[in-house]
Amino acid sequence: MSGPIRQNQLTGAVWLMLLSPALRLFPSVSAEAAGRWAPLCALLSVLPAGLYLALARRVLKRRLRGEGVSELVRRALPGRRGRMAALLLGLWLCVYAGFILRSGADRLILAVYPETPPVFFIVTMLLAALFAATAGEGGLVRAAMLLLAAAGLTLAVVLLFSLGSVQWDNLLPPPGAAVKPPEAAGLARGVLAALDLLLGGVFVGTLLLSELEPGGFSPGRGFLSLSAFALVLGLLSAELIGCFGAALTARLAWPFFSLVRNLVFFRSIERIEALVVALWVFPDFLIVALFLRQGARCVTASLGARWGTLRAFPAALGLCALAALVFALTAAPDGETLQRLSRTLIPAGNLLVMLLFFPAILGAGLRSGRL
Amino acid sequence: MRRFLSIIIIAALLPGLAGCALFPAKKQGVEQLLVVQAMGVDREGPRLVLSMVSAADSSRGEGPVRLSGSGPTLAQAQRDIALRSTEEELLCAHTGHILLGEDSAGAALGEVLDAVCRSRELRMDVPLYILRGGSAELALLHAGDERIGAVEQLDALSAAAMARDGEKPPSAARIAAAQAGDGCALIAALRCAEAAEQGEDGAVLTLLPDGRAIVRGGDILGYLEQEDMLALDLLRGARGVHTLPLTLPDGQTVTVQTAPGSTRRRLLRTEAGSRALGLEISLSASVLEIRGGGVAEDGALGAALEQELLRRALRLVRLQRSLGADFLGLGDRPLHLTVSARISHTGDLRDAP
Repeated sequence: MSGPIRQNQLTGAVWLMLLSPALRLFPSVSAEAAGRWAPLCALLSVLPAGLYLALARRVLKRRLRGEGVSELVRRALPGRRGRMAALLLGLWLCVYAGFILRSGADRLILAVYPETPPVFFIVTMLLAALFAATAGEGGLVRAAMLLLAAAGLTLAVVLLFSLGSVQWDNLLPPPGAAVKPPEAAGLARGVLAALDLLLGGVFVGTLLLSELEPGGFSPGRGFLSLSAFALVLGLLSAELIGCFGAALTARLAWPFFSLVRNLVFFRSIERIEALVVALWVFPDFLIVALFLRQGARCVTASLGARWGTLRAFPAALGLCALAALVFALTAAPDGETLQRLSRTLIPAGNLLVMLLFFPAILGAGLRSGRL
Repeated sequence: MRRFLSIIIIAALLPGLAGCALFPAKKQGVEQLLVVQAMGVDREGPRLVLSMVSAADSSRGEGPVRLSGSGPTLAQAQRDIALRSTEEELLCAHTGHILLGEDSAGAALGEVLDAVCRSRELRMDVPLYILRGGSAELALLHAGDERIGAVEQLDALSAAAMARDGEKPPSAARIAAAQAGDGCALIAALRCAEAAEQGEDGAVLTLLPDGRAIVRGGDILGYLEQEDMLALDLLRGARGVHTLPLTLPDGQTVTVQTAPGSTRRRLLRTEAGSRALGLEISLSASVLEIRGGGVAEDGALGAALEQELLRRALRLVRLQRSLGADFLGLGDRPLHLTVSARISHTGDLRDAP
């Protein structure tokens, strides 16, 4: 079961890890920004995401065998600048892992365990993820493949059985109805929300590249995978807006789980939202484990220790876990703050890292001929 | 083998993560829960009166349990009921109907929708009703008898609506979506009436459908009567089956049953160059009975049907325009309405020689 991973495994792991932010962020943010046109935003984001993938591919194919993101950053920027860059990247990964811990706890509290303090879920998930982070990226990807089928099937079943609740007028107004055309600014905000996810997919894929079999990445299949995920996002958004209308979707904290709450299977099975929420623990678990591990690699690279030969990595992993824990426990004392973080700091930070920080470092490496 | 074991472990984890207590400190059987299946909300001054009713348990020979309490908020009213009830625990997760009393519907609607959307227990697709001319408490606590209660009656109404119209009465999610959007929503209206059956203590109250309430914000703007449902379905493109009495020019009264019609909408350009909404309704109907017997001509019957449908549709359009509430989704463009109707068959009696 060890050895390099294949592209379809990498794609599966990325899909699974994106499912958590996809349900949290995109439906309500895009509905708020673009109203009933929100599904379009997902489709419109495919082209810029594909362009980003192509550019990333051109740079990343210069990586050496077994080289991960942290090593690439250090090679692109030598000396103190490189150490600082790796440290900053590691810090962001820890912040994001902390946010996922807090957000996952919020989901469980809202849907299954009311009035439970989030610290219980945060610490439990952190310990499990910390244990998994020691297994290596390959192990995480293989674990993702086990869970992808269950999560994908659940998503498909929910979308299929909710079709009956869709009010088509919410999506496609009949001729003559007074409908506001989409505003360019709103559409742009919606596209940005979708891009945050798709570029996030490319970024997560980049974090796993060191485990990919040599020459095993096909850009065409990568683009197809991005397009397929955008289509799923579009369908999800369309179904939620069809069921709840754009205005209500924008107001709901977890519209997908509200949809699940309404499901009835064959007039006999209902109220399965707790099971679905429980299933969504696993994408969180994988993101936290991967980001902690990658954060620790960045910290280790920043400290200048040689990879795997010193005790730097376990110490860095502990440090990253501590940073994530501190962020998870302090950043959002209540659900309202968490929602605000989810809609502002986190996507903005993601886009900053993916569109400015990371390209700037790699660009500097290319200009100086080190990559 | 490892993959198989992993799947087993994941599956074993799910119930615990989903809230199932593996080692429950307080074991509670389903029979110890009171499953609330209908709720009613009325406002009395600053307080909300909450009524709850369960379904009858015919297998154990138990009738419905009816509860009522009040408080400044819905949560406090529910706590009031729980405190004063002898039931061990109230389970509201399977609430299938929510009623609002007419007098307080406007004032309580926002609070109820807010509570449903925020609730961890209630489903957002629970149908919402307004009780015309009475309080929700009256309907829930007094409808039915010892054997069946309001839940069974509401279930029957919902099933009948599903069979007739192909859709359930408007749900809380739909109403909340409309309120959050353009602000105008239709809510199923009910009324209390004496049932055809007589109970041991005399008349039994039953719940009957009574049109739709037109609601915007916290106000009930007006009502659509039960006889408006046919025109409402046609104008909104819904597929309902309705019974309609027609009076022919010779004074003969013919009752017809309409089949689900079709409604075609398109934008037209008027002679003045502006845009108008064209609405073409077509449907067929069959003859159910002719008062006093006799023969009805298909042509005259079709014309009378068209005229009646046009009259009813225009009445709703005028109501929409006068209220300024777009409950029909027609917008405010000029409307060109055409209706074509035909009699598909006349039952098992041949009217034509």
